[in-house]
Amino acid sequence: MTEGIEPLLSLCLADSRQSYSAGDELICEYQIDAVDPADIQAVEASVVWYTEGKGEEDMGVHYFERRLPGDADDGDLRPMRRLRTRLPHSPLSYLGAILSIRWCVRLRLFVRRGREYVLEHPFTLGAVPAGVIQPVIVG
Amino acid sequence: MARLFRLLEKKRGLRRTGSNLMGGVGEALFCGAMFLLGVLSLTALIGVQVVDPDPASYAIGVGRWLLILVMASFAVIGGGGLIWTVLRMGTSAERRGAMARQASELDLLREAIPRPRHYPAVPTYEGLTNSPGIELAYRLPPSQSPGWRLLATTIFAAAWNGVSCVLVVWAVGSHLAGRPEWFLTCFLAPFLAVGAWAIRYWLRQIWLDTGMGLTTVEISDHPLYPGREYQVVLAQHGHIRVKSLQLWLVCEEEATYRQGTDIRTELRRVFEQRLSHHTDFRIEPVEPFQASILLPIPAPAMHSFHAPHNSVQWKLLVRGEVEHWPPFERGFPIVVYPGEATLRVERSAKVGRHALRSHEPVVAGSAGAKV
Amino acid sequence: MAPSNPFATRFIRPGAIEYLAADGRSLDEILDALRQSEWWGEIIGPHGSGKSTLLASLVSVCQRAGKRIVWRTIRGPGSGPPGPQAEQREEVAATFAAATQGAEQWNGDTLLVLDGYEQLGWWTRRRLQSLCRKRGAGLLVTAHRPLGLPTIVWLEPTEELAQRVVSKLLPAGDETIDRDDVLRAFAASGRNLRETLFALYDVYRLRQGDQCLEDQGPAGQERKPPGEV
Repeated sequence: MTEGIEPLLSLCLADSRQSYSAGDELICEYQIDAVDPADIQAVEASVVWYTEGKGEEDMGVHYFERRLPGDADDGDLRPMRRLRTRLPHSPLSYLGAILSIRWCVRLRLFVRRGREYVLEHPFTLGAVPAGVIQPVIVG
Repeated sequence: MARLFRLLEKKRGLRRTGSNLMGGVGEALFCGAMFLLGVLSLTALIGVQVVDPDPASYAIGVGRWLLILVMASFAVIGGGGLIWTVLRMGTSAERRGAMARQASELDLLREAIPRPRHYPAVPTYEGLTNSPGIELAYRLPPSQSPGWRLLATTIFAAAWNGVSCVLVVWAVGSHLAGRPEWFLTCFLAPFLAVGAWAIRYWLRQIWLDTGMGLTTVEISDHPLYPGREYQVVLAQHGHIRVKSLQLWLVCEEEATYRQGTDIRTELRRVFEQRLSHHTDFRIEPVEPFQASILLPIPAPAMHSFHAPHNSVQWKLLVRGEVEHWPPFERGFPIVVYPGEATLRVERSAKVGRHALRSHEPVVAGSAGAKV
Repeated sequence: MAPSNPFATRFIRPGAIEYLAADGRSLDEILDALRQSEWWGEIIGPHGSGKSTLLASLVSVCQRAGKRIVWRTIRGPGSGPPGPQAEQREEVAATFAAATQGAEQWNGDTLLVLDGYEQLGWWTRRRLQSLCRKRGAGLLVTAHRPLGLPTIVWLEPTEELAQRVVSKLLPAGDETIDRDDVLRAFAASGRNLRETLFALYDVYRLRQGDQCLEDQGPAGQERKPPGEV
């Protein structure tokens, strides 16, 4: 790995989609640049949901793959790779008062000397509207 | 009116001629007295033997062992009866009968209920549908069963007063034997005070849990889906004059945060809809109040969600104001699955984001944080 | 997609937010104080004053100084089961055995870090100190009141500190929260910095919700008074 240059992680969703219905197929492509293939120890790609808000973070893993240099044809994990998964019916993306549920594709690169690089690409699952937060006057 | 003054009631099979409250309290007091009598007598017998051993009195044929057996059985039967009475408080005879009659059908029902395999992070609902209703398909369990609280109170009161009896016998015996245990005697005062408080609290719990009367909610189907309507039957038992009885559909978010030694749990009500409101009526023991209510689940509603530290919970809430009783609130959890309106995203247009609509005026909830 | 609320726990938890000192002391100065007391010390402060945040920042500095960190959070009796174990940090019960697990490997390079030291009983604390002395290990703890170790830092949040923390959390150019909001929240929370940030979460969310409703107008959604079907 060239000192001073950070690896470049790229992640994109097919058709540049930001929203998915439950049961849709999510197709994602990712690749890694600006790093010597010999420096890569592992690459993990996952589709996860996590909570965000006033509580501890909870997380659920819907899809996970971990690739080692031995899994690639020529030991090079950098070239573009496609992952496909059918999204579940729950939990749907949610923007609540004290908790939110978010979905993302997460790419994690492990290189020599224990360093890691993470890239996330968020997306929305389902169409739950934001709840009413304002008080309503009762007539 | 005359029933209020009948001190002697009769049990006819599974029914009582008078107040369920008085009957329940009477049974509990009888069993409690039997338990304490057994414990007290056993303690006295053993205590006397410890202070002034007389092996001859325990020879076969004297009858002392028979006495111990009888006293022990008083304690066991009294204690067991007390717990049994407490556990049965709050369940009606009709419900017990319906459950017994339909017990053989439960296995078939279980097979018919779809498993939530395809809904990760949505809580399971089997615990909410294993109790068949009388009017509708399911009777919902309350979120906080008074039975367990009452049982815990009963066990504490029985255990504490049982120990008190032992200490009293010991102290009295020491005085009678001319070797007074003054430290024990002084220690007994606060001990007996706690015991008296425990009995008073226990009686008050029985009064509150049974005198107010059972609240039951039955539902036509479960789990629930947004955009659909369901039938609910609300029943309130008791011998009370009701000023107001309301049924609400509420949704709450709960989030727990741990930091070092602090644990902070916040509950926030994000949706409230009043489904029914009944005022100024009387409930008699032989004629409980019953109302059939329509329950619409809003189409854009968020589904139930459960994770270790965060959750979205739906429930039916019964709020009551009763003469001579403190206001009460009883919750009945329900599980809402994702609905069609929220599962699908419109690809061609921007996703519409609109507020939840209510059929009745909605009051925003307030935050409550427990640290 | 709605942006994240900058006051969500993932952004304010210890380790996620850098330590900001109310008294102006840098981490290196605090490290020097700890070194001078032979790696024995306590961080004192009320609830929500930033003890665990300081600990998280100080631990990395101690590691760079060559210390091997054994970091434990003492779980009180009513705190329920342990949460997910964070990197390096382990939640343990308030017992001597749990707090000293692995002590046979402790030596002069070890720094035992205990968050929630006062959860341990007096006798357990004495035994633990004796063990650390015997092993030559350092002991750095957090507590709400002095417990006999050299006080390294006594944290007392100020309004100015609260303003600085909020400035760090808000994205550049985000004016959703102003100074008056921070002052009100800080006063209402009893000068508890953590509760201040939780209160600001609600304020931010409320204003974000208002903005969201305004944005809906041109989307074709008929806007009716709340409560009307």
